[in-house]
Amino acid sequence: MNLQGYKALLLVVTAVLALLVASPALERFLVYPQTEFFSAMWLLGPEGQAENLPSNLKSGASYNVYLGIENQLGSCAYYSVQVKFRNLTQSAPDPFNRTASSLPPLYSFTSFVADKETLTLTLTFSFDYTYILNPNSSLSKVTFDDLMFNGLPLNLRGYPTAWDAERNGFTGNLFFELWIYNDTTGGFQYHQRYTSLQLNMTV
Amino acid sequence: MRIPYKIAVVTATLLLISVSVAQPVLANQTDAAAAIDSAKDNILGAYDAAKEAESAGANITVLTSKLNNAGLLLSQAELAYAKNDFEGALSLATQSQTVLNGFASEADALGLSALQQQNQDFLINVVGSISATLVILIAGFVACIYLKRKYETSEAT
Repeated sequence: MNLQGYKALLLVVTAVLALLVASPALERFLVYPQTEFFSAMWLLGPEGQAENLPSNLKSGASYNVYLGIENQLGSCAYYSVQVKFRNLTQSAPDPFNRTASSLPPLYSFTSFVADKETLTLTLTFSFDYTYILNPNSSLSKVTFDDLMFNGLPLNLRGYPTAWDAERNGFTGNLFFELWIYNDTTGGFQYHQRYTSLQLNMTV
Repeated sequence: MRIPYKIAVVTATLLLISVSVAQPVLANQTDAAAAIDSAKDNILGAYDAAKEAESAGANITVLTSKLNNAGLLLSQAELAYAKNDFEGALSLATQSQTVLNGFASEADALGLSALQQQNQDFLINVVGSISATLVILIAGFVACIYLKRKYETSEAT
């Protein structure tokens, strides 16, 4: 091999070695910055999977679900989850206008999630309700007494639900709205995320 | 004249009784509201401390876990307050504050430790790596000159 050959070999070896050794430093400058900032919220069934979510309820029976919250906002987030219940005639969150339901929360709890982390909460609930049957099914209704939520009794009086001919049952929505603390305003604002359970109250 | 006098005495007595009964309730309510406000402020302060530790590069899972516990107790205190259970609300709000005892110093320690770790990482990964790269480049250059001289010497002989 002549001088030029040795030189080229040396150059290649030096360049490869230099790149290898410089990689920890280069890694710091070549990492793409995070461009998408968002939060996510979801409900999972009792086995921790997106199946077997409770739908046909019995009065007094207890049900388990898992609520997950993921933070990809770039820093620790201070969330508030508002627990609400509605019958079909009451206000629901609007995913198109991105507005929350105008119903007052039955209960709200705060959650702190570090950046790029997920928080999973176990939610246990049961409904106490009474059937008021009428031969004319359209006049039948279900009146609620209490919602036991994670061992806390929440007052559901004043939440009657009428016969839903379309779904052939007495239905209601238990839903969870995600609110986030705004440092500027010093209060919580709707974070345009919600998840819900469509529930049918059976006899 | 005697009837209005009697009415006045009875009214005054009733007022006295109602005030003496209502006062502890009112005191409890005020205490509970103050404890809830204080617990909220505590949580906000702790949240800021956790965010600072996180921005310093600390793993704040321990801190968020404590914050979640305190937040849960505060939520329960607010629910108890809404149900006029002021003693329960006061107790829960106080517990919420207790959970966060020593939180600021823990967050500071985590932040400081993360900063030290970051400095160490910077020294090893950036300063160390750039220095080693320079050494390799210089060594390559020196080897190149050495080769060239050796080749010229061998050609001359």
